[in-house]
Amino acid sequence: MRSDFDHQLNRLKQEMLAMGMHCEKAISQAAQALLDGNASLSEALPQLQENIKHREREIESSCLQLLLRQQPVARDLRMVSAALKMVTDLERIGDQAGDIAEIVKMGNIRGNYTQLPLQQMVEATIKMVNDAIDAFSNQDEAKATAVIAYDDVVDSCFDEVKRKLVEILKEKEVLAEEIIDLLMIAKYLERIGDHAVNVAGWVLFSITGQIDANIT
Amino acid sequence: MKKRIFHSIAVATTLVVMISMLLILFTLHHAFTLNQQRQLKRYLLLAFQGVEMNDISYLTALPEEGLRLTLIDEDGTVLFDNQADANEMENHLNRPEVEHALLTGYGESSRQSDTLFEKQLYAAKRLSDGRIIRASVSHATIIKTLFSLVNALIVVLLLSLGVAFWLASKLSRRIVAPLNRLNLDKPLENEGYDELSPLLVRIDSQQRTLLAREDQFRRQEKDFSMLVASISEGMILLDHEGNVLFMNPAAQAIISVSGDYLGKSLLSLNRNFDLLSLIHSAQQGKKSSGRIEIGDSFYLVSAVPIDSDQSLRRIAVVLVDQTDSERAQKQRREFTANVSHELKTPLHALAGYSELLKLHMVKKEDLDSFYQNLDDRVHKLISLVEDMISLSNIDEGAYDIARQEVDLYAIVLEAVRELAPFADEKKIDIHVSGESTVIIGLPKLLNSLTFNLIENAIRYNKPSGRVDVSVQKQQETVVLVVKDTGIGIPKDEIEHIFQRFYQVDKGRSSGGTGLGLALVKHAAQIHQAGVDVDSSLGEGTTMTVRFPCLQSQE
Repeated sequence: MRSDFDHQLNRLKQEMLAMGMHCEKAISQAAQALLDGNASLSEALPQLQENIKHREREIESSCLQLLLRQQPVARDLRMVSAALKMVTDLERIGDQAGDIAEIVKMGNIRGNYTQLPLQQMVEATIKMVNDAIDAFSNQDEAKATAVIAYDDVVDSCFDEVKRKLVEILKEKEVLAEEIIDLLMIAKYLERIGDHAVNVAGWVLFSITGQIDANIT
Repeated sequence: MKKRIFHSIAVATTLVVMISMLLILFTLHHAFTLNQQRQLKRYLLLAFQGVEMNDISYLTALPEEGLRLTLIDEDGTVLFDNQADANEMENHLNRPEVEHALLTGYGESSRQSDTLFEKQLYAAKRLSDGRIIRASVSHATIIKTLFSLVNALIVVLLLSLGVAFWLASKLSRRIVAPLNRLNLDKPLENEGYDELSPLLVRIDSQQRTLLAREDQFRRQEKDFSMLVASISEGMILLDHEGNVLFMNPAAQAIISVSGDYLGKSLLSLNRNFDLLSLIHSAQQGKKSSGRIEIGDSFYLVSAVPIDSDQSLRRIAVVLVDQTDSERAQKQRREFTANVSHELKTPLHALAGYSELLKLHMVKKEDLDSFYQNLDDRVHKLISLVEDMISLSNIDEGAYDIARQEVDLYAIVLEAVRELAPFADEKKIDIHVSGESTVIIGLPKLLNSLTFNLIENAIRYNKPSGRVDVSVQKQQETVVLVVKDTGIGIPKDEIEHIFQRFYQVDKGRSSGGTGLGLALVKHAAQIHQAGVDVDSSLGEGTTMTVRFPCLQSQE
């Protein structure tokens, strides 16, 4: 009975890892489209998003089945309920990656904005999602805490993007749509960071039983 | 086995003891009965004599104990009985022994009495006057004998059982002892039962084959693991849930796994999307392969499901490093693009010049410099094409021809002589030092090697600079050093300078083809020579080519 339960918990972990991997892929595809200025790179994204949604449903149902049939307690219970919450954040991450790709696809962004730390933001968010999932699979408290701390990098990048966009607006005549789109992309990336923080927060909850006040 | 033997012996002994006791009982009883009958007959004869002589008074004088005597009249009426009242007794005419005695003079019979335990034996004889004298004795049946002996029997039985059990346990232990002492590791060295020897011989031969097979298996496994550990291709074996069953060192390096990986899911070790999607489709039973990028390297991955049964399915993943071929392909693509570009630029210039000339749009006084320009461009184009031909010759192995003795110093002098106008033009001093040194090689290639090195030293020099060329024999090597006081090469570009069409100066204002150093490198390679670059930015570059002397001994 117990071994069956362990097996199912393990399966759940695997499914979470796979879903996390798909989210990372979604971000990197959206980022590639954005940074290379080639919208066709993100053609596979809607399918990926669909995949992520499908995975969310599957994980939810396996979590509920675990809760109903095995009636886990203590740490196991926390883990299953954390997973149940985490998939929502992961799914949002996938959505936001899709949103970024859609903005790129509209083609308003024509100029070269290497001065904006978008690349850095992308790398930071991918790292955060990756680490948060790793922390979940290894039940690694330190890593989860590190993810939450790493959000500062993303936040400061976002502030910098905002400031630089204002400077650009002041200095020269540019297409207003372009600036707004860039700001939105930066905001989406910042949101992805926040969702990664949530995921890490739930990982912490599953390990320690303490709910982090930062989880939104 | 001991228990079994013990039981068999104990049961057998008990049965034998009981059966023999019963048999003895029966025999004794039978003998006893016969004896009693004989005695009865004797008493009867005695009584017969007594009655013949003294008539009934003999009988009445007898004591009542023991033998029972009865006198019966011819008609069956009991005349006397020494143990009962004769008047109350019934007619005895139909008693078998009486009937028999009346008929033949003597009769015998036995009758069961009221209880099971006693029997009456009768013997009767006819007196001379026709009356019958009968003697009878009560006789214990076998059951009664048995009952009377029961205590003794039980004691004997218990005793014999005790002895039987003791013997049984002793014997069984003794029988089993050699079996327990059997050394199955060395079956043939055992002594004991001959009956076991076929079995032991069989065990021995099987043990041998088993050992041989184990040995073979172990060797194969060792060979296999050595092979797998040493190959550069990554190999991973996964179970149907994607947990790692095996991973060779190459694979560990490729997906950067350290520490414990056995039994963990690949997903928790590495999350390369493309790799895992390939494995995922292999998990669905579909053989799949593709090219994936891990870090800066490219791998050709094939994931193959082994076994069709879902729960027993294994997935073998092989990763083949394709970084080099990928790079080579990229380089070739770049080369082709570069060649077309390099050829196009001077050709366009030529086309421009010729058009101007055709349209007579050049002033007369400019014609000379115009022709000079035209000439320069054409020569540059020629030298470019020549370089490219040399390079492709090297690539095709066209220089795999007989080598000959070449004086490197002479070649240097020749190159310097050829380049003297160019050096003068740039106001650069060339100093040559060294002595005549003969190496074995291909004169044409060595020519272009020295020419290109010295030409570069002049081209990328500062005005009024200096070039030092020396040829020296140092122990096992012949060293050609070309030292300039030029602009130098930035540190991070040194590794690129031998690439085709690579020029540090992206503006290409120097007039080089970008193929010179690529030629130098290949020519050096063909002579098994190494090229060292030592450069500091703004101060100059020293190129050192070391030819192995061994060549001259070949």
